[in-house]
Amino acid sequence: MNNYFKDLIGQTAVKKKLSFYLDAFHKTSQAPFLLMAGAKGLGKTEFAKAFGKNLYNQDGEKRTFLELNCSTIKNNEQFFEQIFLPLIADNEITILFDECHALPADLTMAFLTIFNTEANSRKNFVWNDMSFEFNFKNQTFIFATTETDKIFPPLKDRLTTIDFEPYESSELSEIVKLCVPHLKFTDGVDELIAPTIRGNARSAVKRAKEIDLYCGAKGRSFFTKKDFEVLCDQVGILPFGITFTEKQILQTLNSCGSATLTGLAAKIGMSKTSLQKDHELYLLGKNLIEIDGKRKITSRGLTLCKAL
Amino acid sequence: MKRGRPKGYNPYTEISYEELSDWVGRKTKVPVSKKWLQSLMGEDNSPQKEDISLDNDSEATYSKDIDSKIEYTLTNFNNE
Repeated sequence: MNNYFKDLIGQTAVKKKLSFYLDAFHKTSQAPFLLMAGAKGLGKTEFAKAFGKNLYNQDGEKRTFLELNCSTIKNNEQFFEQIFLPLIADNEITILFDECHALPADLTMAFLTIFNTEANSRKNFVWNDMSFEFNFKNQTFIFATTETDKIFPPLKDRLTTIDFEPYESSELSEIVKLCVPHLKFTDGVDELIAPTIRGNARSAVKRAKEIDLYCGAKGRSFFTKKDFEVLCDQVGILPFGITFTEKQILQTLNSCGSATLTGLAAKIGMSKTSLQKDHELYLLGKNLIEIDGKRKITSRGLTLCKAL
Repeated sequence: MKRGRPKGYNPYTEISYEELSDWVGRKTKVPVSKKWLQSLMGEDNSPQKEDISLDNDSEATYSKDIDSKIEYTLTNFNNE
């Protein structure tokens, strides 16, 4: 199997699956309609781009890549007028529908017809007395979202899902190093950095930027444990990569024993939804809190709370 | 437990057109009862009625949606 994704770290299963489809594309000129699914920052867009970079036109040129933010598409007419006719029709192109859960209802319905291709590589879609021709040997469609539950199930059935996994600590460490190749990490500092990254590639890239800025300001080409301590203090990096709001949640639960979601939201001063989606899930994942009817701090959370 | 509106409750309030225009201006559309407007203008004032119809209003919103731009980026890997 070809190594199409040598510049990207981790996501072994994703790489295998996409490589299989790329190998098949090079023989058949056709790829399935892919759905990149996974939490934010796991590399869905990056992998979609890398996949698109390996698709070639009939003349051997690399295929153009069009990235659309679905939340800006309002309806069929706007899509066919502004995107399909000028950019897709009669062109060889890869199209990424990012945040595809936000597709408007009428375009979702149109896609149900368009992507219902059986074994055919062409589809004529008639809408408003106009005919739009899709040629799946020339046009490759990729979808991406963090919220697969919000995609209309029959559309999801027509797509081939590529699931992204959280990154291992060693992979995050590799990503950081890859982002700052001019810096040398000494006395095992990279092992300290990885656990403070919030489990995704985007956070690793952000941490690498902070390290780069720190070293740039000091005119250094190396980064030590001592430097990391100073950086943590300066930019507020906490153990396990928790945020100051999460620190506040742990301290609140530590002082009051347990709390309901409403009670905790009132104490922290945030909405319940934001508290649940943005913070509780992460703390639960790190085994720092538990929910047994009420929110409680775990022994691990207690140890961390004392250390903060 | 009693449900619904208390006796004598009215969701409408009165305000003079002059005072209302101080708040919303003279050109803002104000929803009024179709029957009341018809009785005021008579059945044949169709152009004015069209101006305030809901269908017309949603069409305006729809054409505004078509005008709004879809955000996209186009990458040509051959130039990299």
